[in-house]
Amino acid sequence: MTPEDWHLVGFTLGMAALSTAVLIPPGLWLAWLLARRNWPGKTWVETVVALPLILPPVATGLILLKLFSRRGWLGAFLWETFGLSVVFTWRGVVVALALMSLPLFVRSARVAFAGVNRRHEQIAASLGATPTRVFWTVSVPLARRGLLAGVLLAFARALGEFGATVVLAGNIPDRTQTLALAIYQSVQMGDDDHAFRLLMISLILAFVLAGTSEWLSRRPDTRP
Amino acid sequence: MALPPPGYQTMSLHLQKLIARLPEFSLELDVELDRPMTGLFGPSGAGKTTLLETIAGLRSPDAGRIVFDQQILADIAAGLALPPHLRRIGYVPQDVALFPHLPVRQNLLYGWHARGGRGRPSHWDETIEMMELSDLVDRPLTGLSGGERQRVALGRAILSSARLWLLDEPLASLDHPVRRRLLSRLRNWVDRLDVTAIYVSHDPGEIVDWCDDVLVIETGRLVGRGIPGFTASLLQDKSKLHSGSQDRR
Repeated sequence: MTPEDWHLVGFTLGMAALSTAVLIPPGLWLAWLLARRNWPGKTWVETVVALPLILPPVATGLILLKLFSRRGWLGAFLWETFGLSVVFTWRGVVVALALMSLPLFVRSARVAFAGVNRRHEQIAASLGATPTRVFWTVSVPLARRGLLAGVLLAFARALGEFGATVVLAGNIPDRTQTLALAIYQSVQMGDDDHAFRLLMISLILAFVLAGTSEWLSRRPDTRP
Repeated sequence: MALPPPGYQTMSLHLQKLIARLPEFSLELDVELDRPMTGLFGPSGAGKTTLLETIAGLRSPDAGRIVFDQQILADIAAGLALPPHLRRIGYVPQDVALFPHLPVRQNLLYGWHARGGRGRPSHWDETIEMMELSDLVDRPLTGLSGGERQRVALGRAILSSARLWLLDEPLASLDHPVRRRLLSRLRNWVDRLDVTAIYVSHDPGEIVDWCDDVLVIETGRLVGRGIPGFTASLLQDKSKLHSGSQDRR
């Protein structure tokens, strides 16, 4: 492992962690709404949330590029209001990773919330807890194992993301290049040794994260 | 039976033309409860739990009004329904529903903190002693017996600074002597804290001894009201008098 490789691993882990942190608040809210509420258009929202799982990642990246370019709806707003550029920057990496990981987190969190006994939420409310307090003191703690599994899954997905990232953020060494993009570049350049080294790192990270997530999902809860 | 002190003004609970439809029948009541502790008596499936959950706001009535202490909790015609957390109710459900992720102490303090209290309420020590919880306070929830869980649930409601206690067979899992001892203290607490309580029990003896009033409901309808009439009906059928307590021994 060269210093450049370590930097690459650190950058990838950092981007995956940041994107996971970014997706957790909206993901939690969305998952809870899908698990606990019925409203007109719910099916549409479910479909839209699942789209990144179904669409080719490059297509998702293209949609993001259109949205976040300086002539795009969100990109123009961010540039004119905050002077922030997303396309071909580390911010683009975070956006792409977060969006691609969101469906996995929402699905996992939704199942976790659906598994919480509503009775506990009701009794908490009857004891004076506001809906927000019920959410943070009852729903989230009781769903914590599934939520943690969702976080790990989303993080693992972010580590391996390629298609959307390369379209939105490009493949710029030291600026937007992640492990997956570096592996691709090494293969393209015929540097199989380097590609294999990076592949092994990716494999170890993915194996540990997916295994932990699976273990958390299956482990019986010993609490009463 | 404890009587309110002179000049004591009990907060009244009005159930005005209240209708809650159930799969088998409709719960229909039009009563005013104006005594500190009212017993709710009736066979299983009569609608007692439905009534408590409707008052607590955990299920919506189909018609009618619920007014407690001059505050409208629900008025279906007007489209009003106060959210459960604003009703100042301490509900002890039959299934106890302690929070499994919290230890006993945090369960006990949940309602107190949820209603803005800090630290411990002033009546913490007395409540712990009254409900015989001293040995349980610092324990996790794991391993508590059914009776211990009920005492924690009751303590949780008492400590929640509620004005209206809805107690759905809160002591049913306890031995008869313990139950009567705790019920006596509970009754004393109702008077001291100036709260209104509805106490569901299958033991008519408990209701006669500790409640000021009683509603007897069957298949959702009020079929009897008041301690004198209730006692008279029990005397006519003496087998009922202690049937509940004997069942649980």
